Amino acid sequence: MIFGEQRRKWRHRRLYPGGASSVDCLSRDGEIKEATSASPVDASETGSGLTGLALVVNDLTPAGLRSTPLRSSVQEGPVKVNGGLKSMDSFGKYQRDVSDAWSTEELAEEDNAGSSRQDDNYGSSSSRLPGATSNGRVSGQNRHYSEHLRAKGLQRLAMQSSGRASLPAHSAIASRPGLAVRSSSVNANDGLDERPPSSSSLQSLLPRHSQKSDKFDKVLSMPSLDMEELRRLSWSGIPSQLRANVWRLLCGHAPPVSSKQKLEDTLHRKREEYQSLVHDYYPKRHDDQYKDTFRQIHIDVPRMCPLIPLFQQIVVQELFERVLFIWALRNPASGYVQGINDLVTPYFMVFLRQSLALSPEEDMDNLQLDQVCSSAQLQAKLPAVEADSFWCLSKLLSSIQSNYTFAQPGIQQRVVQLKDLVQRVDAPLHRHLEKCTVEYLQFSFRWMNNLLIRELPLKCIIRLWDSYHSEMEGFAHFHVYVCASFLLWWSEDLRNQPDFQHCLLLLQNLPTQNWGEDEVERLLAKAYMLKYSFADAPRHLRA
Amino acid sequence: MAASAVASPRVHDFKVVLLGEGCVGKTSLVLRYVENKFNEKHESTLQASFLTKKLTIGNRRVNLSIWDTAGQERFHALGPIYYRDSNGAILTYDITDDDSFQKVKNWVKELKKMLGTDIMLTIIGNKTDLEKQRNVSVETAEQYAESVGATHFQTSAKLNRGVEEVFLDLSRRMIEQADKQDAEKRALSPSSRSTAAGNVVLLEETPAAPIKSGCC
Repeated sequence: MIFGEQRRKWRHRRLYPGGASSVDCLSRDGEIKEATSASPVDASETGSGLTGLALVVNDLTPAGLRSTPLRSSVQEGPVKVNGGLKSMDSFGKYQRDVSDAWSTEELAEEDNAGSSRQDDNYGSSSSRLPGATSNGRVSGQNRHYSEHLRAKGLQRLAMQSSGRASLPAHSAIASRPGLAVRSSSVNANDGLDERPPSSSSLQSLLPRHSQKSDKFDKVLSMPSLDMEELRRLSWSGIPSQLRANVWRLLCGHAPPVSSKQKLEDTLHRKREEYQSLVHDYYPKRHDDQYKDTFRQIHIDVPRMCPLIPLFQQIVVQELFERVLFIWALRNPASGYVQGINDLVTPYFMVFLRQSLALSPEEDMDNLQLDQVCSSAQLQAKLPAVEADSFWCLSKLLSSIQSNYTFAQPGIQQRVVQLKDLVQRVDAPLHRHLEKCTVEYLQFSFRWMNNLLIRELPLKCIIRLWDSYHSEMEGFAHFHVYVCASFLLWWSEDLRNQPDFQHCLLLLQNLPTQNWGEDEVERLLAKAYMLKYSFADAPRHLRA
Repeated sequence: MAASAVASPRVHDFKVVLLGEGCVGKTSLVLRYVENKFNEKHESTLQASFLTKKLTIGNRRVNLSIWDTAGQERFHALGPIYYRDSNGAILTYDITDDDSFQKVKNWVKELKKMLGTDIMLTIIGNKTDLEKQRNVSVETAEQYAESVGATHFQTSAKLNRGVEEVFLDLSRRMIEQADKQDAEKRALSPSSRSTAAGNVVLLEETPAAPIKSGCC
């Protein structure tokens, strides 16, 4: 049977240390055939549906992308789903979202030099194309080709680094959550520079890097800015020197115009506006009404990144306090909640790097601001960094406001979604966590509340945010898939922990200190597969 | 499980939760106790951190699972998932900050309401190294602690004063409580409840349970 043969090829065991689990259970029950013809209701509620999903998640090939059990049953099965149109819509969205996450030219190059395993993989799945492609809108050779490229892009991301040193005993892990991670360096934001040369040689990386910058430059210099295109490019990482500008655009802080003058005018106006907010509101921090809020901010800010000298400087701490206090005052529905302070950090670092014209390699952790520039220069530069951080933070928080309102319903909901998702894609892990009485809320609350900032080195967060900013609901919706992807990463390690204590100690000190762009991109690739697999099955993620 | 535990030297698994206002030193206390470390600066705790410690008291071995919780009011709603099955609670205030002492009182009320007398309470006035700035008098705090059946300690995580004692005392009381509960169980199991020493406790236990189940 073709399935038996392909099952093996669909395995992407090396994508994730823990990724194999769902595939394993898939091959054990051997229900693939049923799964592909399962009705949507079955798919969402029964074991065979789970099998089907496992199949989809692990199937990176273009045909597989279209032949999810849910979609094929729309055409074949008697049971109604939300309608084919909807699934086509979201497929279209998927198309838009990923089609350029990896550039076609780059991939075309790689195709020629590509490994035989990948070619083989594609070849076998393409044999299914005629049967699987009954969606009229998705046809034509070009489409197939671009999908093929996209699928290969996923694979490329996934396979880039196949090995991961297995987890050392948990005793080696830094003793406090977050500390070890955040003490690590924040230098060199640009992933392409940092990625260890894998299959390709260093020489081939360099021109590709500049090629990437060229593409950004091209988009950014168009008379009317193509935001869609910019998002597509940014999804797979923004060159360090362009990041600040692109983030401002993607956030909606900067207007989508390429005219330098217009851009500068708007930013200037917004920066002045922020200054006047500070002028009007900051003195209120001593008022009875606001002193508790300010107290909380004032005790939290000095405790941020305690091991990074940059954050110990008064001028930086005061900047954070102003940004947070003004935001809290303007958003009484939530006010300041611990963790929001962390969300300022990536913006601050990115904008500061640009403002001081630091090279991508320059380490910012040990930066002494008063030493790199005169106080006059600082006074000229920092207000813009501060204002931009404030506005971008405001945009970000408005997309996840329910995370911080009373009882934090947004977080509760997303934790449930995470649990639901993991239950479906990695049942053994889910069962193990249940057996150890580990509750998802106990470890993933912080993942949601701080958007993983306490779990990953800052440079990884910055790369992650390139993609979050590019997604339509990156910080709200896509983040759940990234969290699931993150949890699955540790699946095997977690399943090897005997009890609650060990699981939890591991979960709150996950050894990501040495993570770089490479790991983040694998994390993202998996998250994207998960998102795509569930895009047409909102029932699966209904809280 | 209970039967074998009585025969051999007993191992107790106790859950302890630390509660209190932000920045009173909860994390510093636990870090001092578990790792004998003190950092002038560390990150604010988000949600809660989990730590463990093993100790021996007499012939009893004790495994402490400690939840060090976040202090900000906004996370208050998360409290129950940490104190729900706790055997002991350490309620911490900062001796220089009267507000933080009032917070302790709120926590005591909540714990009493939710868990009755099953949970052993310890109240700690931390930061005795800042004696000069004291705003909560020892007498006030001790009187209050006594009135709610809690023990009161004064500590300085920074100078490592009184920290060990807090956990030792709490562990002893949790052992006593466990013994008492075991005795009650044994007394109740042959359906002769006449000699059970803790009937009062059992009666109090009943209304506590249904008040708020499945809160999160």
